[in-house]
Formats: sequence, structure tokens, C-alpha cells
Amino acid sequence: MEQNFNYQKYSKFINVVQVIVKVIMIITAVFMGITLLGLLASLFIPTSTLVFDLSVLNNYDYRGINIINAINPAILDSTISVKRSLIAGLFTLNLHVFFSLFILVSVHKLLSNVKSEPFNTKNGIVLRNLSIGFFVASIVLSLFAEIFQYSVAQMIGFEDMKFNFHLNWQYVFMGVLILILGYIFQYGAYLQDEHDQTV
Amino acid sequence: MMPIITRLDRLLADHKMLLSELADKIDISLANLSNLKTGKVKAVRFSTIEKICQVLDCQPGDLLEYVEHEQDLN
Repeated sequence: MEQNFNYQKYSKFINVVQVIVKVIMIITAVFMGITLLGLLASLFIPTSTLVFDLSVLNNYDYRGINIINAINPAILDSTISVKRSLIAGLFTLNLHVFFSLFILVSVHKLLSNVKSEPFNTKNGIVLRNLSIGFFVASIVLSLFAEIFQYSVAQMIGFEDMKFNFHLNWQYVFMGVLILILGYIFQYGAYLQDEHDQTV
Repeated sequence: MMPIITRLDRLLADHKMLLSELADKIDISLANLSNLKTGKVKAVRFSTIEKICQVLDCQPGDLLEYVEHEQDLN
């Protein structure tokens, strides 16, 4: 059965998505610049200037535990240095933003190729690299987020909190899905080549 | 090298026709037809063979020939 394909509609859709991705990419790149600067600056800020008064945590719950009740009483009457946690937090934030930028750049590369020649080996490789990125992120981003939270807990003497690393299964499934898509594109490239070499 | 070759050049010479003229008549690009003539294609559609045979008044067997190569025999 012959199938019809509305190329104009497809091209318009790709154009619109390309513009949206470009805008988000620029915003993310600018945001990454800001967070990177923040991270670098925090390395040089004197520890004595980054202090935090714990009395603001009076009515704050975290993971169902009232923070003030869980904090080591010995440190409640003093200020604490937040420099280490700030660096950890900014580093984690930078990792997240970097990963977002990586996704956007990959999608942008894909969209650039998809309009004219969707099924080629390049697109298959972009998707494969993207899937690897997701697999790595499922471990690395979760790990550093947990390190940051744990460092904050340690900083305020929050002894009830345990280091609890868990794999980000959503990223793992995304990685698998995109890997399958990558193989489909590579197969499509093979079929495209067969088609192109048929007169 | 593909064991199936086309005798398009011979047929064109017999009909005193240029490749470009044939390409116009059967509505196939000159590049594709040239690839067919030089054996750089992997497959030919029946519809293409039909059009060529119509224009050149020949049989598919006149257009295509199987040539055994030593590599294939091995």
C-alpha cells in the first residue's frame, strides 16, 4: 500500500522545533556561564564571609523530619560556614546545566540533519552518544546531588540523615529508548542507501 | 564488481541515441541513468526496465547480462 507523506508539514514542524531548541540552548548556555562564574567565585570567597544563622530553620521540615529537632544542639548557638556546601551545590548545579546543554546540542545536531536526510549514520551516532550521556547522568547526577545534600546535612549536624544513593531509573529508561532509536536510525540509513542506489 | 551488467551503451549506439535523450524520455535523472550505465547501482526497478525497453524497443534480456567473475566462482 502506497503511503503519502506531507513533507511541507514535516519541514514546518522541524523548523519550529529547531527555533525553540536554539532559544532554550542560548538561555541554558548563558545560565551555565553564570553558574560557572558563581562556582569559580565561591572558591575565592573567604570562608568567614559565608556564614549562616541556623535559627531560620525553626519551622523547616526536610524529608519529613523537623530540621531543628534533628540538628546537633551544640551548633545551634553558633554560625556555620557554608562554603563547602555552596561549592558542592554549585558544582552539582553546573553538572545538571551541562547535561541539559549536552542534550540540547545533540537535539540541535539531529534537527539540522533530519530535515534533508533523516536517515544517515551521523544521526544514529548522535542518538547513540545521547543515550550514553543519559546512562552516565543516571549515575553521576544522582551521586553528586546526594553528595550535596549529605554535605549540607553534615554541615548542620543533621545526624539522622544517611547517605542514600539511588540510580535515576528515568534516565536509564530514556537512555535505553534513545539507544533503540539510534539503532533504528542506523537501519534507516542502510535502507536509505539501498533506496538511493536503486534506479 | 557486480556480476550483472547493463548493455545500455550498446543499445543506445544501435538506436543512435544519447544518454541524456533517453533520460528525458523515461523521466529519470541523467545522474541515475549514468550510474545504471556504469554499473554503480545496486538494484533496478521493473518500472525503469519497462520504460527503457519501451523507448529502445528491446527485451530485458538485451539490457541486462550476467557475467561470472573469478571471485564469484571461488
